[in-house]
Amino acid sequence: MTASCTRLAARSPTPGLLEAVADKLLSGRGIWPAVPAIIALTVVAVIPFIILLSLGFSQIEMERGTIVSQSFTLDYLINALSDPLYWTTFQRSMTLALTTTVLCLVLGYPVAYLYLIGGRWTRRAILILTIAPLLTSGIVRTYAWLVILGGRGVVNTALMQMGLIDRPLRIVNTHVAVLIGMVQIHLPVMILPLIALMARQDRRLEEASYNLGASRLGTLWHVILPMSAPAIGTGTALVFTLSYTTFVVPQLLGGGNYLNAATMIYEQVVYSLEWSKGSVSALILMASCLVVLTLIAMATSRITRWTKGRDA
Amino acid sequence: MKLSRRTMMGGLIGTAALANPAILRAQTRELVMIGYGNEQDDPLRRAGEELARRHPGVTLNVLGGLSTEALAQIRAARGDSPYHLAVMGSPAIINARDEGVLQPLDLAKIPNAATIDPLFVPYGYGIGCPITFEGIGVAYNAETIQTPPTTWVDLWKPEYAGRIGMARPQSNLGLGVLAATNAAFGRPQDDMQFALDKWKELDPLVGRSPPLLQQMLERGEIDLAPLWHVNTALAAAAGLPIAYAKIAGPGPLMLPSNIVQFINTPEGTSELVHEYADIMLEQAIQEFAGNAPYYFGTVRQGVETPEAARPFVPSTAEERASMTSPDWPAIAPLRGQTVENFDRMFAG
Repeated sequence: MTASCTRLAARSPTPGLLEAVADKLLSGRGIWPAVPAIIALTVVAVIPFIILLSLGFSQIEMERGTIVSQSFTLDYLINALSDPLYWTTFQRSMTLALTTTVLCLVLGYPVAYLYLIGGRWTRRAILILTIAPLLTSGIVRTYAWLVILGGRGVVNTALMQMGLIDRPLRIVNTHVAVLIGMVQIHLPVMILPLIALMARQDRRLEEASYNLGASRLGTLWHVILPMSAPAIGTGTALVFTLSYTTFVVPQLLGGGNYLNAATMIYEQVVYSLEWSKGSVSALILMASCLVVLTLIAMATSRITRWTKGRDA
Repeated sequence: MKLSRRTMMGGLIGTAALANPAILRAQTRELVMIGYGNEQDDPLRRAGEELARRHPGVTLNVLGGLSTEALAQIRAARGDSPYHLAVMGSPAIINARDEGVLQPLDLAKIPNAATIDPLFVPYGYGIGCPITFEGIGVAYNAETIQTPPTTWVDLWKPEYAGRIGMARPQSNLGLGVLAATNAAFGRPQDDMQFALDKWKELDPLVGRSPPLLQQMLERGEIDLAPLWHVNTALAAAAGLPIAYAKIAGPGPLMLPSNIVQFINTPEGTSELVHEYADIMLEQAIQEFAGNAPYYFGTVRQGVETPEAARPFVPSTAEERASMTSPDWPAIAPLRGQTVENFDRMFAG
């Protein structure tokens, strides 16, 4: 028995190594539990992204579909930063994303508040109505807006039947149509983090507030709103990121006159085959998005700290 | 039946030979093709069935997608094309040629190529084999437009102001229309800035792609727009009040579609692609492609334009004689710059 155990140990050092790795991964200490995800992300996301970005700083020559020479250049970045078309396009994308985020917060917060104060059936109904749109593709939901807002759509038909207008209003292929589509598509993404946090809130704090004589509005303003700051931060960051980098909604509802950052990058890469321009645009998109996300994170952190400090 | 040693040995050798990986691959080969991504692929598939009948084990997988997207994918794959062949318009052939990702087809190896109307042959640019063509004209709402335009210059008549749509110049349609605008006003076809300035005068509603432009016409957001004849025919066949004007001066305009093969394909693929192109040019397939509900223009001489397709496809001797295509080698390389200039002027 002892001899066979010794033979086994001498023959297979690997199980020991595997056990050690498994032990590290499951330990919950340091970065070890995240190592598989980090490896996967590095392979499938970071490396291709670095290659893509490197194209933005390269003068490339192609032959038979293969890069035959590549030399460093800052020309594409300088040209992009000095081109009014880029500034206008990114400014349009930023304005659209910020407006969408604010509207989603304004429309989504009351829904989350209703979830907090509502009964069991109200909560279930809100949850179903919030999640149900996510079960269909964004493209389908966007096409639904084409049916609703089109020249012969529900809105125009109703307005004409009521005698309010003589000829159909042009709603599709405008900035307004894009904004409506964006808010509807991204609203659940704002509501869900708010609901998740509200569901965990200690309702006794609310009751204490009422017992101390605060009104409903006062309780909302002084108790519930500060406590939901982290969820507002999360929802805001998610909606902003999705809105800033969105492709489908402007593509379908904005018409050919509407250009945002994502559609510009797609056209540069796919139609013009100008990958260097496309990768520089992607870099600008990512950098500007990170700046806003950092500001959102800082604001959320500051508000949360202030709230806790005030409570203490 | 008595099995002799010789029969057994022969059987074993035969089985081993057929089990050889190279022979197995040849027997069960799948050709991957970029098509249109809709029912317009039916003629392509029918020709694929005939190819499979002639070569048991060979199948044709027609995938939807834009040929420009395929070029981007091949570039991303560093020239290792996931596709074997494609149906490609002349401008895409020029872009693909510049990228070096196409293997020229030898028309001498395609017997039916001798039947192609000589008008279409040059638009394969020595690389592709023309199989069908699509016309560019003006689609209009027959209920709201009483007198449709007959020439490109007519589009600038005051009666059409504020009612016109156009496709973005990233599409072959949009780029071709800009070239036609230049030709109509006596300018070189590659003077894209002039054409953009002229279109700016019309303050058009812009469709991101030809199918989206077609939908804008169907929804009543515009009353007329330059469009492919196939898009228009499909909308009209669906019962919508949409008609088509074959525009002259220059024109009727057409864009031939070609069979092309990509580089780096497995051995033996090229022979199959040549044979496939030959099948596409057969009388029966051409008649099938030209009829409803596909309405393709046919390139084989002697194929009659079906009655249902005549309002859309140049069919009279006069129309066929004046049929022309934009100067794609001059304008296709300008696509990226034209799209940028278009956005500077039109995006809002």
